[in-house]
Amino acid sequence: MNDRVEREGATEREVLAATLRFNTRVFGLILGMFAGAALFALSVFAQYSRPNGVLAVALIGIFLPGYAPDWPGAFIGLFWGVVFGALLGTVIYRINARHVLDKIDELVIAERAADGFPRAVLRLDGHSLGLAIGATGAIGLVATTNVLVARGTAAESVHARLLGEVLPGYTVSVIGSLIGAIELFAVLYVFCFAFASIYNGIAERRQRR
Amino acid sequence: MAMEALPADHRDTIIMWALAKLDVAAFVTASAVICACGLLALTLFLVIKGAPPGIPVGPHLAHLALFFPGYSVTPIGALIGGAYAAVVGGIVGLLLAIFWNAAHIVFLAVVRMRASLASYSID
Repeated sequence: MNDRVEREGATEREVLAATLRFNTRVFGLILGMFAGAALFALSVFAQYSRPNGVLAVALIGIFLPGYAPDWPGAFIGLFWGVVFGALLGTVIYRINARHVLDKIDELVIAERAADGFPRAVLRLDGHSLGLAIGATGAIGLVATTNVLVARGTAAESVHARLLGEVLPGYTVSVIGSLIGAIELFAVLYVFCFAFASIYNGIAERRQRR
Repeated sequence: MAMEALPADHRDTIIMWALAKLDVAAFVTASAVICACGLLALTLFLVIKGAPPGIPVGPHLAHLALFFPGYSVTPIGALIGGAYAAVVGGIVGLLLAIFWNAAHIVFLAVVRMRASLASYSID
């Protein structure tokens, strides 16, 4: 019996691991495509509507070497977007799916499938989504700010300093980045929680019909 | 992650969860509402916070007018920006949901094809 339970447990974990791998790749790919396309489009826009958009491209180019408002820069931006988008997608999906087994029954709205294949509509867990996106955003803010600090250009980073207008207490320093990260985490968590609540509410109502 | 063995039917639930589709209409609506609220709140926050005399309020955020004609860091501009953000958020949400569902439909089709090929070979 114990052997059987262990075997079943292992199979469950294998099933979960396989499905997580697949979904992580899908989400990473989608986010990579989106980020790459957005950076490419911004660079092309900046090329053809100078001086509009050039500043945004230049600021992003500080963190993405080679990104510039010209065609080679646009393709380099596409590359960086795909890489960072995929990375972000992977991290977000993995954090979001950390406690899937604990609440798996709450995360699906089962549908009657005519062909015998189990089909369902996905429910979102606002708490996990908030943690995943909030943590990723907060870590991103700390990382980018401290890149500026490490480069020794923190004092000249007037644009980064403007974040302090919307994140009170944020400065281009180690401590300032931590204060900003906490605030950004809180904001993103609230927005993700609200997003999941709206989505789940509408999806459930539509399935009940 | 829970390590204890779950009942056998949880495997079906795991597969169902993994291959579950997003409700496109719900996803688009939620994306649109959140993006609209985000830009509305950000703009109104800067408007309420204000700026010293002679200094414009939110000059960098005001650059969004390049993409959203009519947008400005004012109460009216916040509403206009919110409407634009709802459209952009809705489009991004729509694309995300469509790509997600399409990837799973393709995956399911491959699984079905493999299953039917395997059943032919057994026969």
